[in-house]
Amino acid sequence: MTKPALKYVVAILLNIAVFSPANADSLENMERERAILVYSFISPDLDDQQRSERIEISRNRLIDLERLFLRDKSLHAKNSAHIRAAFENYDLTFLVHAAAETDLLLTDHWLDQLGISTQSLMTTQLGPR
Amino acid sequence: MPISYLAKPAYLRSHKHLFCGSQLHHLGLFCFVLAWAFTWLFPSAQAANWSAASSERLVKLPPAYLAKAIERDFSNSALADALTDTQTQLKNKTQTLIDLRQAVEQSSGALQIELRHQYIAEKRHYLELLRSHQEYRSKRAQTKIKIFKRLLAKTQRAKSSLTPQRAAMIEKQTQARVRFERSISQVDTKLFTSAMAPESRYGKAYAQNLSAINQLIGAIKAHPMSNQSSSDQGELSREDYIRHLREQVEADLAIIQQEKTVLAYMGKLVALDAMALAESVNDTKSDDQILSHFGSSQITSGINFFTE
Repeated sequence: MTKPALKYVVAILLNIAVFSPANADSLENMERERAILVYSFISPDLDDQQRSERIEISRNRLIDLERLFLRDKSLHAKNSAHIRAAFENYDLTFLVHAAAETDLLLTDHWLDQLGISTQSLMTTQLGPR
Repeated sequence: MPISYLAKPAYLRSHKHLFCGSQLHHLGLFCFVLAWAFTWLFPSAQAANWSAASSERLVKLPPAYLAKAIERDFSNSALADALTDTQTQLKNKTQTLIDLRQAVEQSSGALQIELRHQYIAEKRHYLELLRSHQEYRSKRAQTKIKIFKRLLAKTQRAKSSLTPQRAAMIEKQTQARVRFERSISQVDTKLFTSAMAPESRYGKAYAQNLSAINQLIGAIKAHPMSNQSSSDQGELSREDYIRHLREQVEADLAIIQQEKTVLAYMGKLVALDAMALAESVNDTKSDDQILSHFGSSQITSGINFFTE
């Protein structure tokens, strides 16, 4: 391929990449933000103040993202494993809404759903796996 | 043999022998005459047709507008024109029969025989028109049945394409949405009352649009046309409504079949009338029977012309 032709091809590809609409999946966005939230729960690098701020930011984002996903009518047409798994457990997928329903803190609700309580933690023992 | 002829390919040489100019001209003329004769002999077969509307478009329409859309499609067809035309002709023919009957009553002798002959001939034309009218109505009913069958098949196909796995997933989605809608006001109160979490731009815009949508839904429900269409349909599902329409058309078709029997009897009576007239002319006797009643273009109202 000659140099000018190659330039045109590159320009066209760049145009496509820049001007094509972002086709972000509503589930993907929600999962990403929830992963950030879970990381904020368990990260040992954060102090209490930082953890609280990050959880607050993620919570506010997740309010909209969970609603966007639940109101997405195109989901009826899709039958992927990801979507099936998302609807398997409402309390873990829609963490912010479920926590508000149960009147628990986000962290408490998440731990509760995973079956981790203060009592279960206190009864744990150190030992070889 | 000229060199130029030899240079031509074999298929060109053979064509020259098969279709020379005059033969082609005759073939064209023959085709034209054949087409013209077909049009003249079977005018209705060519013109009076109704090709059904595409079921892809109809299947998307709400059930209440389905019957109206099919009727509108029919009214734009050549078959509808032919049906209206035949109805007008039937009306005119009825008037002619009334006039002729009066003329027969008032005449005598050779003129009466001539008028009776004309009366029988007009009755025969009337029967031909009735037959065409029945054919068109039957065609319309059959096309409608075809449309309804196709629509039902499409609806059932769409239902059967839902696998159990996908149906279960849709069920889960519905449950999640129901739970979400049930708790949304409670969640809003808890989440947005604190100053830390003001409502987002998306949340505000969504609430505004939702209020506008609810207003529009209210207006649609209150619209007189909406009330009319829902009362026509009653509480039937889409499939049941299509089935109900199909049953109505099948009933119409059964009536047309019955009318065909009436038409056959009318034809028999015209033949008997003609035989009676021929006999009375041979015996040089005047017919004292005078017909007294007449009716409209409806098939049963036309019976009087034949029974007396």
